Amino acid sequence: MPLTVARSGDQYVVTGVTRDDAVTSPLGRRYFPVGPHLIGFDDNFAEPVIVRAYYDPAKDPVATRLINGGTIEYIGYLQFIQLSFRGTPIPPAVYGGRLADRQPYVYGDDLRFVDFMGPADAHQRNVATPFYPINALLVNGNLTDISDFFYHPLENGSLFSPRDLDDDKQSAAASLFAEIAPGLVTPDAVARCLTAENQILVLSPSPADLAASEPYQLVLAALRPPPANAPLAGLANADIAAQVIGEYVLLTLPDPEDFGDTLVISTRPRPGGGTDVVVNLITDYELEGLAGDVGREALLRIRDYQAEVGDVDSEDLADAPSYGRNGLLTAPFQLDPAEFAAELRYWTMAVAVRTLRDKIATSRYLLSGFTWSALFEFDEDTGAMNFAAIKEPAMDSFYLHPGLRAFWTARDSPQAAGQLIDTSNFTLAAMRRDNFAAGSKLRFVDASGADLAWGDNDA
Amino acid sequence: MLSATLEIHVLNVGQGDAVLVVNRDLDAAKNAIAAAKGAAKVPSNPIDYIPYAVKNGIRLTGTVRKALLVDGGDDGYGGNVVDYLTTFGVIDERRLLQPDLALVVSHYHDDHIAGLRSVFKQRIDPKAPGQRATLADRFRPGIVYQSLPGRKTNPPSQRFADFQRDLTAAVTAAVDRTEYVDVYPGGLTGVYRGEDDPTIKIGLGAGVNGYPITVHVLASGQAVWNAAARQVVPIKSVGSAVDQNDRSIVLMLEYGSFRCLLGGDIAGNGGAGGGNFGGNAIGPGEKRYFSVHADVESVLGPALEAYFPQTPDGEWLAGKPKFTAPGYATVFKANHHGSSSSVDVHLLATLAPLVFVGSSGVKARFHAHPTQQVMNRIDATQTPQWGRRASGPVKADKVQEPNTIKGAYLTEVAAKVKGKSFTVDTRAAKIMGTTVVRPVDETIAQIQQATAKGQQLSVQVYGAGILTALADPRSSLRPTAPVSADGIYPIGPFTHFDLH
Repeated sequence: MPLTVARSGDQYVVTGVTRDDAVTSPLGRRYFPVGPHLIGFDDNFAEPVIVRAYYDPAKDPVATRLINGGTIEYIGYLQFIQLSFRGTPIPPAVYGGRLADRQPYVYGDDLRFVDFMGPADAHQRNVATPFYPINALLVNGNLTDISDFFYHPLENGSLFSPRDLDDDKQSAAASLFAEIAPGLVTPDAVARCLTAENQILVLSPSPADLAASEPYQLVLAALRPPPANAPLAGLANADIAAQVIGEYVLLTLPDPEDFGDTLVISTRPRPGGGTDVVVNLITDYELEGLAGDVGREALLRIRDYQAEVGDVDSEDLADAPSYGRNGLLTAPFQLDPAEFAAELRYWTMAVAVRTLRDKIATSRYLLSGFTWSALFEFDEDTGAMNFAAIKEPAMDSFYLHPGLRAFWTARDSPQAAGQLIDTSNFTLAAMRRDNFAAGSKLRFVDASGADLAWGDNDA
Repeated sequence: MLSATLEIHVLNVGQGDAVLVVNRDLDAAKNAIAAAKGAAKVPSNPIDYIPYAVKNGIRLTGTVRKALLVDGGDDGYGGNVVDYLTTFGVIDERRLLQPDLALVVSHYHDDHIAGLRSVFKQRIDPKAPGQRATLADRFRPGIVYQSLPGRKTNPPSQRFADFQRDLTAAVTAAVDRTEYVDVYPGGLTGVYRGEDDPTIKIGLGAGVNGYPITVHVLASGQAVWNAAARQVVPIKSVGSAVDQNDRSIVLMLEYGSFRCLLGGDIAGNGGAGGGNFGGNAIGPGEKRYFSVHADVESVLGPALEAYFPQTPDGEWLAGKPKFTAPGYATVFKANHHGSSSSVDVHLLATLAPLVFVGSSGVKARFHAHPTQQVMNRIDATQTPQWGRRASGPVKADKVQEPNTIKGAYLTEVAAKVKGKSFTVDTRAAKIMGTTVVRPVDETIAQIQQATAKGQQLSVQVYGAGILTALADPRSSLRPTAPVSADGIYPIGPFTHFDLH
């Protein structure tokens, strides 16, 4: 059965991802069909945004031919990223924030890097090819063999095997569930705000409760009625803004003067076994202290990087100071508020692992892929670098080998053991997300930056 | 002839705070003008010297006896604050140490401290390939006052850490060292050991006839000094966590019979408990979750009345300042930018201010200030009388005092923020940009010399008329009061008086 899109509440879902036609899998608030791919975006939380991609081999003549030829072992998605400022590639360590630790995988003049768990984790798990679904090894202890990824659903998507596994849960498509978490605020910075004094609640849920609900859902249930005088009585999700930073879920509460507090929800092992859910309350000022100026600091690092490599374009630089734009951290660039100053470009590629004639060696064969981007605007007035829009996906080619070689080099280097990438970049893609409407919602734009018209693929 | 030795500059730093207090040597200012333009060009009224000099770009270095800067706005305004200090002769850009400049950090929020970093440091941008931006020393104030830092009370913000690093470098320098004073809770010089008046006083020299200009530190670190009870009254947090606003340093500037209250970001009650009713009160639809500020104003009001008593009948003697009510302040700079939970009616009834100045704006973060409630409370057409708080057997709001405000001024006010209109009716308040308030020396001297009630205290107010250059075209500011292209005062001056 082919992949079929349906509407479910305020989201789109897709069927045909397993042999069981009744199984639905989420797409997001907006989706795009691109060749044999379906790609959806879910911005219920302001950050991270979840991207979900499905590849239907039956819609790809090349895949069909290779499958019929019997040389494909399995198909999966690989994803690569490139960060650029005004069209010029920038190392992730220069941009900073949650992308900074991706530096070990950077390769080539274009400064691209594979979107995958860190070299230390990849080395420890002996990962051969950084298929995105394999990131689920970070959270799912039941996955021990590559064939364990041939089923749906899994935390970061599934691999597609052309073999008949005689199981209704066998994945009928290759899929990818990934976070776009480009924020400049790091989990360490959040942790610095959490004190014994601002810890307001500790829940000790049962394993069954934790299996049935996300920790933040348990917290909201505890703080809402009954009783009627509960701290968050009457507060709707629509009035809350949500984001995830590392292992922390941040729920910002409304306030008529925008001084709303933020609940910071995390988990910790309970002495004697089990998991506690911990809630800290940070003030608007503390949240501002976290987020304020991080965009300016990123721009200052970018300018320093450009100066170091001799790539400063004087026409990019800001004019003389003006009133209110005259500080130590004032952005060094003259940026139009509506300009997409920074771009996080993704290449999401369906790749087949083929058995060679000797039946021992395998090769990786790019079947089909697309590119899309997360676009950022700089707000000079607040100093924030805002994730503002998604550039619509379009079919694209990609040269896999340099990226794979960079992965293997980093994985096998003597420094690999010390090269960690925050695992929460990959482990929270499967989190169940309520729709928190007070956060900013993404725009979707075409290649020229113009807003796409709302159509049938918008929820 | 009118003179104004004391200047209070409420700098326009958008949604933030920066207040500059200057004790001016008017003779030196006269000489500076004469040297630059010739004696014939010196204005006839000394009160006009400084606006004239600034209008004509005359260097005012050497005309400041003492100055005090309270906060520096957010980072984006730091350079503007330093430029202003230089223009008005407070900073001599030829030297690192500025011995006559004191600095008070009201509390540790970015919109108050981040801009202060620009006093200490300047950014040197890379000029050639291979270079990186660096921060170099810029100036050092003579002395810095800040609340006693503490592990449990320090904020986690990067700007606080940055500022403390800059400050530490200045106070530990081998030469040109900044002096440093920890302000203990309640505005005290140290742990209270039974002294009659243990509060810190910042001397800014003398004004007309040698009358001292003194800044009294009355609250800090979530505590208020109460002179009547001779104790430090702690402010209880509403939640379990520290609220930096509650920890604000509160200052009363005193010069003869003139006073100005600078309360940082303290709050009051916002509702009926603070004497606010109807359109003055936070509405039931403006629900807040979890934290609200503590009510510092309700503790401060009685403390002000105890520390600054009215002049008793029979003691209206020559050579003394004179006050018709306890706790009086001629000028009241809005607490917490005019948030709805600050500037309670009960505090207004205590202060009986003549002039109200609010510092608010859009950048760096818009908080819908000033609020409609505060604009209603200060406006005589909306609130002709202010109720007093409960006192002994007298219930709250039983005693009503007349609204005394004759002039209300705001630095800047949003028109639109990200496309959304900001509709607060600011009533009769004038939008000024940086707002300068100056008591007229001659009236201060007359009150001092008087032996009977009824002497006028005159206060002059003018504005600079410069607003923030917002970057986002979806945001805009309301226009200022009309700006004069020809006169020496960009906006104004406006004069107000009350009786002593």
